[in-house]
Amino acid sequence: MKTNPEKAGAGVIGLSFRLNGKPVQLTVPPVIRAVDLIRNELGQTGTKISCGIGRCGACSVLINGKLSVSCLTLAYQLEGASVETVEGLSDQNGVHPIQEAFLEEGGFQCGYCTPGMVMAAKCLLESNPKPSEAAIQEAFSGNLCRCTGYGGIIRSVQRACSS
Amino acid sequence: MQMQREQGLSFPPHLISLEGIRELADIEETVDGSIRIGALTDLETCRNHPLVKEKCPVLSEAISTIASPAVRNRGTIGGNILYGVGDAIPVLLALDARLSWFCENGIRSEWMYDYVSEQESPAESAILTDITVSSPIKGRCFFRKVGRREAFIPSVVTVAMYREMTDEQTIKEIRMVAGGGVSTPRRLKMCERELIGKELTDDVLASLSDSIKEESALIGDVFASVDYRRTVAANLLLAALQSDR
Amino acid sequence: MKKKIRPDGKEKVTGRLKYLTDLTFPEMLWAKVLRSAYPHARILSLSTEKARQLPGVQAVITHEDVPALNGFGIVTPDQPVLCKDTVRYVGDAVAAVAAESVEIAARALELIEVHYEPLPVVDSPEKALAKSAPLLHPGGNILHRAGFQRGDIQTAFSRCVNVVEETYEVPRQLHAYMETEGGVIVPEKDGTLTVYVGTQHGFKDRFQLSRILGMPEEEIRIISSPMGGSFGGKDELNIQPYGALLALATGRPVKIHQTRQESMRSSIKRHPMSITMKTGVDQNGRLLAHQTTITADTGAYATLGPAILDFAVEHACGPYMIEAVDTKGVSVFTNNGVSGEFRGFGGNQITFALEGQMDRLAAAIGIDALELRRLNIRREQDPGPLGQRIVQTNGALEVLESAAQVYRDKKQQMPKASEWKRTGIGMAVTMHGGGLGFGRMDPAGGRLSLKENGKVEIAFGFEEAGQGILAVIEAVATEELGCRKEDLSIVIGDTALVPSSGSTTASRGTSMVWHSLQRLKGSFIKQVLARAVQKTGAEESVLSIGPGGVWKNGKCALSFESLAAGEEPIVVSTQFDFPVSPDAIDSAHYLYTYSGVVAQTEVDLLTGRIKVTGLHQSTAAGPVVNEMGYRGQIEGGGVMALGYTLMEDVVMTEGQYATENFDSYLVPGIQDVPFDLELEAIETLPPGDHYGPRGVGEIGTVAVAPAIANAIYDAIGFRVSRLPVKPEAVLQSMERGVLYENQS
Repeated sequence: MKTNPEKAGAGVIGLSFRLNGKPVQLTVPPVIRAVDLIRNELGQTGTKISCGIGRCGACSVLINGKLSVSCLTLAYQLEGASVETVEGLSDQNGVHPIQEAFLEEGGFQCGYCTPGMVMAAKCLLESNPKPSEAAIQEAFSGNLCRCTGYGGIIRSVQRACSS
Repeated sequence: MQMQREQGLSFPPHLISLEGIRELADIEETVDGSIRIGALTDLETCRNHPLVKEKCPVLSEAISTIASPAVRNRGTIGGNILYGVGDAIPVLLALDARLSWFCENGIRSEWMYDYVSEQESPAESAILTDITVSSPIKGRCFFRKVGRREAFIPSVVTVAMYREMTDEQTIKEIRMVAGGGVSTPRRLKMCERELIGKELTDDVLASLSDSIKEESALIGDVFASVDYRRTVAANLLLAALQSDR
Repeated sequence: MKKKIRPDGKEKVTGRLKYLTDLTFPEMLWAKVLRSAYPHARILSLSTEKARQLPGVQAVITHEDVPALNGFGIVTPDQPVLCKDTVRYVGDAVAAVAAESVEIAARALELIEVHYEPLPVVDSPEKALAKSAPLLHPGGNILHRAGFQRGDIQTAFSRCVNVVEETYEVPRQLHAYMETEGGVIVPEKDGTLTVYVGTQHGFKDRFQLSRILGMPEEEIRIISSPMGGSFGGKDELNIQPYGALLALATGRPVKIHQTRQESMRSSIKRHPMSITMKTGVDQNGRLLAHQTTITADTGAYATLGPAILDFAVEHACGPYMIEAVDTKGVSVFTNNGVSGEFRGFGGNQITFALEGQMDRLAAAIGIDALELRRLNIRREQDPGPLGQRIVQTNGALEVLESAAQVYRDKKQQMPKASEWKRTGIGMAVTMHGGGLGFGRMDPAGGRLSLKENGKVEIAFGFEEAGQGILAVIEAVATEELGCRKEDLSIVIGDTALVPSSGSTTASRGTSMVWHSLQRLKGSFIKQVLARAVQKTGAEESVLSIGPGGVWKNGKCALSFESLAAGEEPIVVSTQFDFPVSPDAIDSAHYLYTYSGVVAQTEVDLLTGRIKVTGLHQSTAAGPVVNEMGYRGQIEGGGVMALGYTLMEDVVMTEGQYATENFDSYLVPGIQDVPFDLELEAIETLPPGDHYGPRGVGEIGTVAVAPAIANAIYDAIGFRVSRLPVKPEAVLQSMERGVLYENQS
């Protein structure tokens, strides 16, 4: 979507931040949603949109290392930040061990919640490499999955932290 | 605000970001040992802060029931209070917290209780700067939130309580709070007065149930009725008191 | 069981997979649909003038712009694409706009002036059936009636020593697929149209769009996979007609991606039903009489409402052999949204009622609920629920015995209840038909080719909504042909490239892939080997297909590439019908799967809230094709049903949605689910069974609600008859003194 400045807010601002380690500079209305900026302006569609009100976690990204819902984050809040999306976890050669664990344990079906789940898993395991049941439940409490019933996701996280 | 936009309301024409003011986003111990929390501290930082965890674990517990980690990383404690029905409010009321506001004529401080009961609401242009909780906490604290799902859910009923007993096992000091749904959390002042100086006998507790239901003024909706909310508030507070005996 | 990584897995976990709502095209416009402001109203006037004048708006369409049939619906096209004079629910479309940005499109919708004359809102089947009710359709307010009778019900009741009667109410459930409806519709230079929008049946969408646009089907190409979930919800058309009309009007690609609120408003839901059951037993616990009346709220339009009612009627006595049966159902039009296809297809509703009856009856005559089921459950060789011949397995008894064992074991290790908690355990069983049933066109088919590039191409008209059809195709094809997954090229979800396989619905995908391979492999292997004989001069008897190509003496003698090089492709196709009963009983099923569920609950006495602490599902559906996919379907289905039982309800008041998004419509989160979900796959089939693996897309959702309900009774003595279980009802039941001690 090429955002229409008049409708999205007053004027535009210059914005610079890092996306998956690479500097990004662009001019956008300050109050468009970060998720639209990432998906539509920057074409990184790994980050998904589902509820738009922070109630499903499909749009979860890391902002300065913290798990954040990008649908409730506005463009201006990214200024100077370091943003990490699912695209930042793997390159053409291989996948991140967390992604490998999701593959091997069936931590996904339709895959639409998966980028958010993977980011939540990364955030959890970076701060807590051996999470308890309660810690896993807490870490994923904001990420809804309609396909797996969460069993596969729990097994994926357990595999990721045992490997 | 973004949620309102999603529902079709438009943004105000101008927004001023305060995110650059670092003093609004830290947590410190004051000279008298209290905990001062900057209003722009995000909820997750607040929840995990060593000072909060050590000196006021019930606040940490309450915050962990708010939304999800990814939302708590975006939302602030000040925002939760100004939202009017935030889940941090009951516990802060029970702890008798104070709020500081930056107004036209300088900094103003008031009791959380006064702010919530709208007896002295600050001017519209005032900015909430910080929340102060007295410490050490002498009595026992209790918090429970009930929603329609285990987690990541708006509150149907939220209760919080602070109580101190005398050596004779009578109530020395008590603050009881009930909120939930669109109801502004409020202190149950009449129930508190009834209890002061009393021992928690079966008779006292039995009559308290009806008093809580009566005073807790919770509002119902299509998901949970008034009766349900008031009954649950009474059940939870009574059970907590019973466990003190 | 085989554990294999899904073919689409890597793309999904890395976020690289492009869903159809992720696509963009040069010169692409954004579109939005204006839905009705009222649940029931007459349109007095409609003016799009101001919207058209808004800078950035490229087209505004109304009913006047529909070139051919202004209607859609898989069976009966009674839903207007764009309403002309009447709106029947708040999701009815009135106009649509294409603009340079989504914001402009949204602004333009506000500028469309519609004057309505509100009409009385029919917001319940009772109101719809009242004599004075306004007629929602020319044929009246009854969409469909269905019934089944066997034996003399009155005489049978008179012989019963105990009769239990109860009315069960079940809610309107949202599919809640994470990816809302959307995609891009592209007008091609040659005048054809390419529709990149998810659906469960690309060819059906093509047919429906052709009928609306007045375009030959061959000029419409549907690219319909992958999808971010569907569960039945994307089988019917959704935004395709608006995108197509606007793309043709503007000559530019048009994207629509509904917001969650827009999706909630316009999407189909699971049928709310009110089911009254009266069931009687003799002194030995034999079921003698079973009378059921079903009233389904089908909402404003038909879609698959009739078939869903038929399914519920068929499954009203489930896996039990009952002497006299009298089942009557009616599906009623209202102004409450639109009810339609949803995983379980009427089976979930009826099973909740039936399994509730079984536990109530057992309590009434004082025998173990398990024993009552065992006494009455169907045996191998018993006819199907409508008296029809079915494919025989011992699945019903097998799942019952498996669940019984689990039930006994868990009952012995029940966690001790704490002061304010009570724990309970319950069980339920069911059987569930696959395929569309007798008398319904249910064609399937597939194509197997050795392409010029040396790839073994396997093509189906099935869709990937997340259920794992790609993994099933890969597993079945490599198993049946003997090749590697690297040798395969799987093609689905594009009407330009695949044969028709029927709809990806009714648990038929896995089954039809397997059946196709059985039909395709003989001729394909024969032709491949014949060519190998030609090229190598070897005897055919020493050759076989193996990893990478044709093998001889334990070695790969000729790669698929060399076999294919410079030759015409080898192509084998098949077309056949889903197997049906030889007995001509309308809508009767032939292939069934079976499930036995044990649920454990913890009831909070202070709040009335229920937590499911254990869920074990035993499933009999033939051999497991892909362990991970199977497990995912059963576990995921179980949790979807847990939500249905405890929290999910699309609440409507006077035809308006009270739940608009995931803040008020709740699906289970990770903390609502037992940490360890358990299952047992019963893979045995009788000797000589030639129907192979059955689909498990639905069976995991069917018997979970009654198992949880029965566990709640075990905990606190409260009989659940209405879903979702309201904590308020639980508290009230305890205030009435129902609370009893089960901790003895």
